[in-house]
Amino acid sequence: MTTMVHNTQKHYRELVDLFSRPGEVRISTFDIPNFTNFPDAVLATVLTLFDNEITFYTQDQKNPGEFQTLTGGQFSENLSEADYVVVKEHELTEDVMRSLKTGTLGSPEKSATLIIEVDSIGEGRKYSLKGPGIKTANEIEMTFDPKWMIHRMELCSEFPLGIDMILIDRRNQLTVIPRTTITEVE
Amino acid sequence: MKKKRWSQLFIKYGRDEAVQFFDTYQSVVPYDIISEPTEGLTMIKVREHAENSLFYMGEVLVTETKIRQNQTVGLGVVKGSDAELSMAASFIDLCLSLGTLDEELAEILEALEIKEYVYTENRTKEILKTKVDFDMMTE
Amino acid sequence: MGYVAVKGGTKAIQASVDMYKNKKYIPGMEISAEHVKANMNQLINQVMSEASLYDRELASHAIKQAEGNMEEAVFLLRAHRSTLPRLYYSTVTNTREMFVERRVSASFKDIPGGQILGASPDFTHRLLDDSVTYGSEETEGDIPPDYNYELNNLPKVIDYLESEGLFTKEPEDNSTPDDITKRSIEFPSSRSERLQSLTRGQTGAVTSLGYVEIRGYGYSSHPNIGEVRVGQQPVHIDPAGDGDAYYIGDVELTEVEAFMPADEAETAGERAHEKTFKIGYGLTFGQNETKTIAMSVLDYSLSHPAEASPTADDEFVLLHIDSVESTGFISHLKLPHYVTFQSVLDRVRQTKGGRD
Repeated sequence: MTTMVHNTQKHYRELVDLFSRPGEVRISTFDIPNFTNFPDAVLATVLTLFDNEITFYTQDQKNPGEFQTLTGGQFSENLSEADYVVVKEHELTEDVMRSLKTGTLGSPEKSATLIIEVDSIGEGRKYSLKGPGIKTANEIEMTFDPKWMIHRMELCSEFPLGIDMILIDRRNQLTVIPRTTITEVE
Repeated sequence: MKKKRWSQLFIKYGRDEAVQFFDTYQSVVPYDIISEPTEGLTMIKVREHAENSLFYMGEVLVTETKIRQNQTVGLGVVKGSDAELSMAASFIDLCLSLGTLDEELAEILEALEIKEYVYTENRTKEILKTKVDFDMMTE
Repeated sequence: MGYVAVKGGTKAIQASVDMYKNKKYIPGMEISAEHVKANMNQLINQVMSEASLYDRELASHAIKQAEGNMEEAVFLLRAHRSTLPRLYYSTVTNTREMFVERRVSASFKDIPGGQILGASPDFTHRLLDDSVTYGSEETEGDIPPDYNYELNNLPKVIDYLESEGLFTKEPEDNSTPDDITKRSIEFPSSRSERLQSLTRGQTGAVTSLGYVEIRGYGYSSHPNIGEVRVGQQPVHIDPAGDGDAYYIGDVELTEVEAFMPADEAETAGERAHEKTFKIGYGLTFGQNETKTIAMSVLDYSLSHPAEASPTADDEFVLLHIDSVESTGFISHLKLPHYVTFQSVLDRVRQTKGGRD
């Protein structure tokens, strides 16, 4: 018998691998009844990372209740409190980016993780990633507006402060850009 | 009926009734399991009476089950390690939220209310035998 | 002779573990955790309270496995606790809803609701008695004829004190408590940290320090116990946060409110020359009356510190009453310290003029 815990443990392993190798792409096969407006891989990530100790923010009216029911996580309308922010790319605004918490020097882990649904990973703008976990450079194409990447670079300019990003497309492909990664638009 | 009320009646006075209800009707009400009965903890938050502030006094072992029928969720959280009761409680919660098997449940709950009354009555009488009657001392 | 760091002993250690496990076994004399649960209620109460984990089955299991060794049983439960996810926080538990099975006041004879003795060893002769049997017969006694009692809604003695104008209730403080299981205590400690730390303190340590406080190393005043209650406390959770909470079960609690005549200095600023009462508060898992009374004494002494008294020093009290911390530290001393001791030896020898 496979239970939810088996699935989230497997997904967690995938996330750890992806965090260690920024820009690598994996497909999630996590299968669960999904009543949110997000792809299954987003829900899988939420189920894996959320518990009743975390605070999250998401925009659509329908999703907070579902996330809360499934994980016990606390929904907060206040972005600057959120440990996790789950959004679709088109919902990103400069205000959203500016409100994200980047942690403190004493506790850099008290920062936001951004889970973003994008149209496609594999097509779109080409990004070149460098930094820890990447031998020379990783190239990745995705439909993600470069201006958000520039915002991200600003938020991550004072390491160890910063934000981590998990990008997920509609075909349940995932990639991770942690705060240590340097991104360039090509 | 408030959740507080029916959950107390089933958990405290109607364990067997709850499990039996689940066994009888589980095939009638379709549901998916979100999470199987799992052991975990609930931290107890208390208000103290000296300064009326709050503190955490410790954790109690609980068993939690979550099931759903489409958008409706059934939650069963019970004290201790008790997968059967937790499962049954989540099923009852789901039924009550869906509004199915209302009459059957109402009937059981009515019987449990009587059971509760009898228990409380007897227990109270038993305890009150140890109530001090100071007037007796002057006799 | 010089020492070097060594490894080894795997086989000896394995043999020691086997010997420890086997020595428990006397054919036909084994008891199950169920036996412990059925017979060792008060031991279970102490273990649950010190472990800060309420579950009679797990506590019984731990006691059996630890051969009745308290510190070991508490350690086992704390360790087990750390493997479990914390799924919920209860709604604010209101002890006024406790189904009271025992309640006495040492301060007022005629408390509203009366003195209800319940089950207690307080009134027994302390003579070893091998005729103790667990009868199924009913307790003898008269049921008060006029009773219309709701034992889950008994008036509290502090209400009576308040109605007499001798105690002023503080406004409700709903700030989120600190949690010492998530973040270590920092000093000066908050009240929620103190109460959480005291309630999970080692019974003996809390009792001793409470005694110290009263005997003359602290506030040194005889507290008056307003009320000791033991009863079944319903616990609720409200995951949706809409006020429609679930009941999850009852836990047995002991609650104490101790009256302390407030200091002149304390009241001077508020109402000059008017003495009122302050309260020391104790609350523990299970029936743990002595510990809870001592907790109320220490709660007061830590919240209203007298100058230069050890029991008013939160670091002194709180960092030393935890069973796992204190027994863990003391017992680790017997484990190999070959290298550290070697360096001590070296220094001693050097001072003696150097011998290789």
